[in-house]
Amino acid sequence: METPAAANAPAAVLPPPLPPPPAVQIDNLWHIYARHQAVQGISFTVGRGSIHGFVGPNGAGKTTTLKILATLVPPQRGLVRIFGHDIARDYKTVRRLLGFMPDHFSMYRQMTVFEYLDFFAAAYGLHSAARDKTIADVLALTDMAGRRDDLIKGLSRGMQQRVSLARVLVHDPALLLLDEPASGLDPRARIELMEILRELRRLGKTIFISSHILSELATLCDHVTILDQGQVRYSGSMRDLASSSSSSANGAIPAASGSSQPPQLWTYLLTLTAPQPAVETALRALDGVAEVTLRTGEEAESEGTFVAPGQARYRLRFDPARVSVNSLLGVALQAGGQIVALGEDLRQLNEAFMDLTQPGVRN
Amino acid sequence: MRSPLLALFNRSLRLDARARSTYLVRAGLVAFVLIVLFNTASTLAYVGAPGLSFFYAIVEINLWFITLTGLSYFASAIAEEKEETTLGLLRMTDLNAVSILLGKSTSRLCGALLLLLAQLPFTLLAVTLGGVSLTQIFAAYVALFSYLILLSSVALFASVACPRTSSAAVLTGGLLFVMFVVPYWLMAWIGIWVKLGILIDGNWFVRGVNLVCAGLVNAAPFTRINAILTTGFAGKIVSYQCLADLVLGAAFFVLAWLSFERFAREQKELAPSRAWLATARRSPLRRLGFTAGRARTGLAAVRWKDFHFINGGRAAIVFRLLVFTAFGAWLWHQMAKQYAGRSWVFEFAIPFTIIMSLVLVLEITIDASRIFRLEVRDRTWSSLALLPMSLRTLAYQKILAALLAKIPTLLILSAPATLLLAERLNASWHSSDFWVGFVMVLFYLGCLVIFQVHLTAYLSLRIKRGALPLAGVISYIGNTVLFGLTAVAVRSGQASAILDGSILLGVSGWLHYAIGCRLQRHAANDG
Repeated sequence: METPAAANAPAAVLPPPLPPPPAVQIDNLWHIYARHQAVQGISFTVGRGSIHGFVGPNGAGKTTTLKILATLVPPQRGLVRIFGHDIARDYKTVRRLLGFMPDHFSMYRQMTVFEYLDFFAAAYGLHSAARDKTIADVLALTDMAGRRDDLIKGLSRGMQQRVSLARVLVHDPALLLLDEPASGLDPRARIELMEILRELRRLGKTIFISSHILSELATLCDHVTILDQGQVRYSGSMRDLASSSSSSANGAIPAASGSSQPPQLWTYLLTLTAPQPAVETALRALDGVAEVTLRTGEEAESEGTFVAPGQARYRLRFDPARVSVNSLLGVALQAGGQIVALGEDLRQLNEAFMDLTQPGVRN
Repeated sequence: MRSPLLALFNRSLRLDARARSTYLVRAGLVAFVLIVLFNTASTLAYVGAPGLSFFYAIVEINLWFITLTGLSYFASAIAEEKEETTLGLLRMTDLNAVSILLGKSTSRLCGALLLLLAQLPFTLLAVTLGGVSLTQIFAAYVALFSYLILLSSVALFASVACPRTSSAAVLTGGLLFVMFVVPYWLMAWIGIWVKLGILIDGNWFVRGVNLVCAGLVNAAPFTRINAILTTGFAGKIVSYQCLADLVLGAAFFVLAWLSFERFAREQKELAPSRAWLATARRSPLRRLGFTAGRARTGLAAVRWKDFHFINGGRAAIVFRLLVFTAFGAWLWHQMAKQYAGRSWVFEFAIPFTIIMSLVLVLEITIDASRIFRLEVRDRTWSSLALLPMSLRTLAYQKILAALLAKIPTLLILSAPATLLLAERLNASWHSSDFWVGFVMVLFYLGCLVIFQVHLTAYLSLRIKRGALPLAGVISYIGNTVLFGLTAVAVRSGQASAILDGSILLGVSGWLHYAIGCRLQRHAANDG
């Protein structure tokens, strides 16, 4: 029975709901092999629904970290949570939430594609009818429906990789851990794999992907963690990566009034039919533009891109808080620029990687 | 390296010289000799010709050791290059077929010969102990050396012809069987056929087959060693067996050389084979449900996979059931014929129980060498380790699947065992001594099998190949030593059996734990 006093009291203010835990939370993780400190107190998070790249030189500790995340290696020190579950204590729940694809083909090659997927689906507890539907779905997603009854040993490497990915998906995990998924694949298979990964993101999966092919990660990932010598050198969004590398010091612009933080610069490439100094001058004059540099054909080639003979490519670095891409485009057009292309510079991951990691071969 | 002929040989010797296992094996073998010597010395007072019994034990273990080495170490010479897909790289160099064959086999042969040579000074002590002459010792070692050379060549040929070490080991075993066991049977059958008038005594065919068979029987090291170890042996050090083995060895080496290009030309994909009847998709057997069916969920799925894809599935069960039943029926028929009009149940049950028990132990041991090894070799263990179950549960499910496949053997074994037990119950119901002895023997044999299975499984996770024969050798040597030591410590046979069994159980417990640790490590390393 509600008392009058209670009825007149102001309604209790419920605390705001807690944000859901991140897909991956690593806090001060250490792992030491007999003579080698593979992982030295790393901390980073992977947001839900993101594609998070994980890069680093050989021996940086990537595979150890991935194996710890996959519950194959128990963490020695530190906290690792997958969707809020501690992997050390709650490993069975964690295993249901994640799918791990190692960098090699570990498959029962004497089975047919269907038998292989059916076995893993059954082992994850899916009943017969559910398995049929799930397997049909994952085979359709990986474009392997036509090879359902083929023996795995008869498939090409690219197809085996697809089956391997399908296996990871049969229990519908929320997080995918992929270790070098594109290694050894031909360009077509690689591009198709990237398309599948984008589709998986659209389906709401979180993807944590380790790869040495930085250009592909740059186009695929929205976040990245760079690891070197067992330590995190960078962890954050791809867009913020450019300002973290030392090259951001070139052409730095002062912080906006009232802000102590240096601005996060964006990097774009503007391609013109020919070098046009007027456009260059007009862009430099814009407030918020930190850098306008002309890249020669040789420079572009050394960076892995191509500029057609006669054309000119400008590299623009600017503060998006003060100048928009539209205004850059407008100024360039007003200055008489014959524009061929304007787009984000995806090579920033290459540059950041080189800046943030130490040269040399590691053990 | 100046000569390509010696390049591989040199490399193999260097690798062997750097490997810790080389010295461990040599030290282990010498330690075994010393322990046998110690045992012999402790029985000097009440054993006649102690030198002969000491030397007999050494030669016997050497014979088994050489045979098992041939099935694993020698049989992997070329097959390991195929498994690691490095044979093509070797063929691209200046090395020709002879260089590769010599390089891969001779270094192993040298290693094995050195093992024999290392024991020679110790075995000479047998002369001092009495009952054996110097000639006997040298003759035995010459026989062993020549057998070793023959075996290395046979295994080399098998290694060239087969894509995997396991199949090369089977072929080597098969060839040895054909060379040294089949001739006995053939001679016996020819005798029977001559008596029945199917073959005419003294015609060219009978004489030819008998000649070849007699030649092979005399070339068998077992025949020669038996002759050498008889008291008062007065033969020569170098015998027909020695020369025959060397000639046969050379023939097999030439065969390996001639067939090398034929078998090494194509690098086949070494995917594991499917359960043999599950492949028959269009076979009427599929309609009868002999192919792999739909899995149940969870743990049963793991059992399903192992049962069908490692243990052969229902088809293998039916096949084994038929083969064992046919064998039992044949033995029953033979006994009924031989003991017409008399009770022969006991005579049937004893050999059948023993044979089926041996088959069961062999099957279980082979399973132990495969169930984890295959997952580790094909790097599939890490994918299994990701399933939402503990590694312990996973391992036990795999073991359960292997045991399910043993149903036909257990079923067939239970028939003669029940007959035997019923017979003994009638005869010795009131004899407590019989029951005590029976339980002791069962306890000790059970412990021995448990130890053997654990050791095989453990070794299969530690070494790339040859776990089964190595476990056999270690088990044999270990048990000989253990038996000797406990016999000295405890004079009662029953107490000794309990002590031995308990020690074996204790070691098995440790191996059980160690297997778990290895599985955890493989899951982490292969992932």
